[in-house]
Amino acid sequence: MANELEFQMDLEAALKFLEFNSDSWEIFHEVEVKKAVRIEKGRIKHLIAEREEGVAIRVIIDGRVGFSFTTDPDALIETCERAIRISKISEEKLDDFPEGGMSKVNGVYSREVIEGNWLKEAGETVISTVLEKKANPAEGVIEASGIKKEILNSAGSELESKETFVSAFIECVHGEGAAYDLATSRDIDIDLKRMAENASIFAIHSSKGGKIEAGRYDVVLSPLATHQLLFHALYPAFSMENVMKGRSPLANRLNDEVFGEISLIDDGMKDGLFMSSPFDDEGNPTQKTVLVDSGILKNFLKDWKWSKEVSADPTGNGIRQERNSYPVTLPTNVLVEVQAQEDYGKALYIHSFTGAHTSNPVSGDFSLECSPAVLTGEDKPIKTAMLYGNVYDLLKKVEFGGKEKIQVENTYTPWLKFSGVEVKG
Amino acid sequence: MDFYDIRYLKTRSFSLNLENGSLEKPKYENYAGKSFRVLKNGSWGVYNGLVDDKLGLELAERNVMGGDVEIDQSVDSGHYEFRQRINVDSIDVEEKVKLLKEIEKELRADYIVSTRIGYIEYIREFRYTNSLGAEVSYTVPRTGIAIQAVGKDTTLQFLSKRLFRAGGFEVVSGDEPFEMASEITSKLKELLRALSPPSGKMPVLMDPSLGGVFIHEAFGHAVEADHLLRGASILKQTGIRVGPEELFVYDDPLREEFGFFPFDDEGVKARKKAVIEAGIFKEFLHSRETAKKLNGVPGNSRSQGVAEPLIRMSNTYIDEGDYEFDELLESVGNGVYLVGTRGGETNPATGYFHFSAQYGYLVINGEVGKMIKDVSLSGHTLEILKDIKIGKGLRFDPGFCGKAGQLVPVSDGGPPTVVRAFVGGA
Repeated sequence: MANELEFQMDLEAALKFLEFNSDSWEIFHEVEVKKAVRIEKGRIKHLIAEREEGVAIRVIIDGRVGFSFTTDPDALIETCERAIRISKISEEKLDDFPEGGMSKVNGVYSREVIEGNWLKEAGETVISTVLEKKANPAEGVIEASGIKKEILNSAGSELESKETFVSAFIECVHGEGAAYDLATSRDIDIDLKRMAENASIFAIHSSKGGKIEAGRYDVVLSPLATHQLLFHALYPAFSMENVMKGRSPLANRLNDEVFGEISLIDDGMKDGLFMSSPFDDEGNPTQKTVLVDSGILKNFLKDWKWSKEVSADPTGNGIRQERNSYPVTLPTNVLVEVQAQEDYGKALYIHSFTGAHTSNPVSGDFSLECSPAVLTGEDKPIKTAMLYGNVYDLLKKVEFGGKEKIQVENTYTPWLKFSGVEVKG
Repeated sequence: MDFYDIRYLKTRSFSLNLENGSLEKPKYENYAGKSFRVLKNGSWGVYNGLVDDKLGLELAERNVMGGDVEIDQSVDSGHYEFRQRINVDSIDVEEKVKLLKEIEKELRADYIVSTRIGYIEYIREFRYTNSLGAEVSYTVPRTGIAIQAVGKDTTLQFLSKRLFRAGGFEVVSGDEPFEMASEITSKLKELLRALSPPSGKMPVLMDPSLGGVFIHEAFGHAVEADHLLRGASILKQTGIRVGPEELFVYDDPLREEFGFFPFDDEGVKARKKAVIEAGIFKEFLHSRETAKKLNGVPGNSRSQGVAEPLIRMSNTYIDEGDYEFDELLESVGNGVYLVGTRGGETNPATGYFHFSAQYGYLVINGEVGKMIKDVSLSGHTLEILKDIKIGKGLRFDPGFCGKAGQLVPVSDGGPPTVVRAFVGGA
């Protein structure tokens, strides 16, 4: 069937070809089936089904790495030839591929997700929740996908896994106000109601928003805002590649106190989290890596190549951003641990940032628009405010966080409270 | 069924990445994909996958639900082949590597701690048919080089520039990439000693690169008609005044810049659109669906790969005006001159936009003063263009524009311009 989560490409000939023509080789083979329901202005707009199967090949010849990718089942041998040809000019160095292995991870696959029959009803739940709150569910999507991947290599690795992913997005509009929120899960239990309510409430807030006086405020970042800031301004600094290439402000700071009372743990094997998997995209087992322990820098993340460069073990963070890309060092699930409290009292609560991707990853500097935000205590919605600073300074000002953690893409965090942060109107 | 269309896509790409002088992550990609859309009972059903046409249409039809969608039924047919003056396949891989290594020599200085030069060639072969009998096909190559350097003093700072255009190896074989690299090297030295920017509402002189991103973010996204249909655009109607008589803004997919396309992903022939003429907002950008609903002209539907076509910009620019650069500076009086872009974001529903420059300068009494760093700009779509002053000398800057998770190549352009906006920084 066209939508079964099974491989159709036959790799037999390609395997033989690579055996004969390269020193070491790796085949990353992935098939994804996906269903998505789109929401537009309070209606279910359409349903999309998709299947893509692709093969990424890495070869090593005389210590040089070549890479090539295809989705064309008739072009497998050509793809192998291209990888081999490219390796001749490559200065990407590796001497072999990992034997690899698997960690035990539960809750990352659910058959129900890819059956997809629940999607229409899920879409209707989102729409009715937003309408009940008197906002316009302007644009949204709920996506359910199943991925089967296998990694074969000349070091003897033969790994296979099946995983499912559910993700959702909704943008709500109210008058001239707008807000969005996200939700993710590995199963059909995804919390769409929370997402829809949050987006509605903040859209309504933002329509009534006023100005904020410039000054120093206690600031609370929602899990969404926390992820947006950390992902763009901080996470690149934990990559060993960036450390070694002079692009990380955390270089040479191991065991230094870099932040306030906060711990950051990259955990690729935690049950049920969105980025958990038994092995990374190079076949190394996932693991739990403490990056920052109560403000002290403890570790960096390493994919296979950079673990070898620094003679350490890989941390299971060799991740392909797309199935057609080289593995690079990226976080899996970053667990944010702070002292937990019930409530944050009077503060500027920031739901989301605009333009987080414009942050400066090599210095940690950011200047971001907070939209929408609310001055709690006075219960005053703020249409727009600017937050400037540096992520390293900001994380020294962390006080505490909420009791419940929410996953936003790579970040698993509660809301976080910071004291005395400069805000401009 | 009322309508169907089928897209066949083949792409080939080759990329090189010179990191600190060493050739890392060279990559070849060969992609094949197909997309089937069926319109029935007022709703789309979609299936994307490499299956034969009959099965693809059947699978798409299974996803039809019900709704009120109607579409513009324009039929265009034709074949287009973008001619590469120097075919990328005629140049040895070794020569491409050599070019990058030569450029890298321009990035050497004691304060530069890291460099990255990327090369990409990408060929898109597109074929489209539909139930109305349209037969469209084209081949368009894109080639380019991106250069980045990180400098270190008391802080780390980075600068980057891109040269991407529709075309073959001729795009990168001239002096331009070398000039870009040497400019990065000299500006980065200054940037390491740059001041923090002032903040507040003030006159801002934007260079063409920032001005291009500015028109793309501040106005262009709100002109995409899908936002309007969802009730999520600050722009509700055409015919309103948004800027002075001198302001003309176009979206032109036929200009041979990075956002070039001869037909859109719904098989509609590409056309130049006048978005703003003499300060009046003239035209939304449309898909087949929004064109039908709002009585517009389709032709701006684009996809990353075979993903769902969305209304996108192409080459978007502010046309030239009459001001000399010195006159613009003088009109700023006390404010800032901002250069280059680190990208931006806008919310078409609220009209608020935000984007960052790579660096800038203080302007004091109409004179360019000290350099400033980490500076950003924000404002509101309906206010920002009111008092715009437009200079001479149109230039384009390429980029990738993201919408609903899809990236497409675009370019943004303009001459130097002056607006009043909110400036901020770290």
